[in-house]
Amino acid sequence: MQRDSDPPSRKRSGEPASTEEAGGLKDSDREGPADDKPQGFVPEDEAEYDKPHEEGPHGKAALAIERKLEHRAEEEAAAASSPFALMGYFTTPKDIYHACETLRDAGYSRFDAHTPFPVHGLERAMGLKASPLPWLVLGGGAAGLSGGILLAWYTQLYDYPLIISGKPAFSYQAFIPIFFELTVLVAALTCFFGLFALGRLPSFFHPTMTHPSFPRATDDAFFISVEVSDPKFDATETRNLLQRAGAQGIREVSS
Amino acid sequence: MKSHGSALAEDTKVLDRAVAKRLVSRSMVLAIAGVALSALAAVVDTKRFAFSYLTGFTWVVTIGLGALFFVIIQHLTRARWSAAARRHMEWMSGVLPACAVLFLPVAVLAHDIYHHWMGPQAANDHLLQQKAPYLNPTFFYIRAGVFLAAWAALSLWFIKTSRAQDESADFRPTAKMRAGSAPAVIVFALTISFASFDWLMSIDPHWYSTIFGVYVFAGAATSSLSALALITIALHKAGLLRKVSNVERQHDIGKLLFGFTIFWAYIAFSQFLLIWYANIPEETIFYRHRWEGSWKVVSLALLFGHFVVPFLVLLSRHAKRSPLVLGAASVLLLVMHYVDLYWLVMPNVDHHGAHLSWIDLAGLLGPLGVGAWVLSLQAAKSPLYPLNDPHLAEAARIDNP
Repeated sequence: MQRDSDPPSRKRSGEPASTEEAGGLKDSDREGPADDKPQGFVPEDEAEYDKPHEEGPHGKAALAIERKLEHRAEEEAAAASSPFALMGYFTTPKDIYHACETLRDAGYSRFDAHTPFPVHGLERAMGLKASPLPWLVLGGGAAGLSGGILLAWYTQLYDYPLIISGKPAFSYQAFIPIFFELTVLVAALTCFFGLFALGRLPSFFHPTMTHPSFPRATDDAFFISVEVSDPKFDATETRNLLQRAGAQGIREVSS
Repeated sequence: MKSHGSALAEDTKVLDRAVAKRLVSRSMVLAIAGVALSALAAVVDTKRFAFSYLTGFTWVVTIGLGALFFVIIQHLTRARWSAAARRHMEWMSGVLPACAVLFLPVAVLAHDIYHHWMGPQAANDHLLQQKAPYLNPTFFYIRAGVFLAAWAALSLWFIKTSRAQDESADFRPTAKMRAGSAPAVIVFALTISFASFDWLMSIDPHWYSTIFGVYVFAGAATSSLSALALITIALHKAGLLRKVSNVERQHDIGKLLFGFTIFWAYIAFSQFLLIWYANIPEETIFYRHRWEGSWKVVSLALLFGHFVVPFLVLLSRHAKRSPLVLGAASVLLLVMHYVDLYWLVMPNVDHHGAHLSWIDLAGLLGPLGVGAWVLSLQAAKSPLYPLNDPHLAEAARIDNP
């Protein structure tokens, strides 16, 4: 499963893809002498001070063991978390368009495309359903309109009737601009927050971000991520499908 | 076609000769019948006919003006989506030169229509004496001549330049029209405003509204876009245009129509709110007349038919892409534009309530028949889309995701 994955320590480093591809997956084990000096707050009282490792009987060997244990714990944590998606990238909009069509036609439904710029018609190639957002906005607009009418009626007629410039107490004509503004305001706010909710935002971390080449999704790479939760997902078959479509850097990412 | 290869091979370039001939002959029959009916009505009841004819005439002239505005604005914004729509609007703006002839009955009957300030009683009216430097018959006729000449010149120039490109496959006409569109839009804005003041607002010379020109313009834009939607749908239905004008372009026209429907309501309400709030007798009387008796029904019909119903119908994307729904909304808006003008003009004749008469129909059919005839003449002799427009390929490609 994890045959292409990097050890987690490297995974989040976001190194450029070119090094990663050319230089293979060599883990530059952190054995340098740089960070074996104590850092941060050092108490003045010698008695409280736990002697630095290099001066102690175990010295650098103990430090190395500690590091190795840390490393292992990290790896175990990575292995324990379930894979989220299989990712791969293409270098032209045309390729990702056709790959999306292939996935759609193969019956996949839970996959996403990450592109540096809008690729026109991609939502059709992906077979995405129409967004429910317009209906939410319509509801928001209707709610704003009725809220505005209610507000004007309550304040002007029900709660405290006032005669202004000799006009009837509830002169709706004067409030049409308010009805209009409230309709637009609530519709716009529904649109804004509805989009956040539908996109599950704000989200500070997403498994796709752990793909080492993912920064290129804002530059020159067109990513596809097929989620493991897709009913059609099969580790080897999906990988083959992506490979046949011409994807590069195929790897599994986990949450 | 070097510029766009075989991408547009599916589009028909010109109307089939037999179809064009049938179109022209049928609309000519309509024109002759309309003019004959108008002449009869003019003999039977000259006074009422004068007002009815003014309503029908302004209906045709505003549709032509809305079309001219569309052509100008497409060049001004260097729009690329609208290549085919621009040609259909050019056809429609072709009625403007004919409007110079259609204006003649208004010019002859002006003393009936504008009797408040053209008649002898104006001499005893202090307010009209103050307005006399502008509102006097001589200046009125001079202005009308200027407006009609300007519109005829603008529409003929845009049609001629656009047609020249059909033959030459040259970019220069496009550049020329773009350069000409900026001064043209200034001329357009001034002429349509003052023409509305002169021909519609001055029927009741004591009443005034500074937004009136914009109100008439909003109706012109809405009605011409409705007519464009109908032409587009008809050409799609007949299978004549498939690429350069398709359902995406129909959707775009629907969006503009939806926008101008709201614009009309916005302007109409702006005019109403200020007058209603200030409640000054000489201004409020306008709405008072239009809220009496059956005029109230017409006012409400206008509110619902010209705004509420088309707004709710055209809100949906599916409606704008459906030929049936968009076509129905367009027909409704064209009818409502006539009702709008009827509502502006006729309360000056029918006080305390609307009274429909066959003369009103005659006053509409005359200009309508002539307008339809000119439009079909244009459609018969001109290609169905600008054959060498530099943006044809884009017009065929751009879609609404």
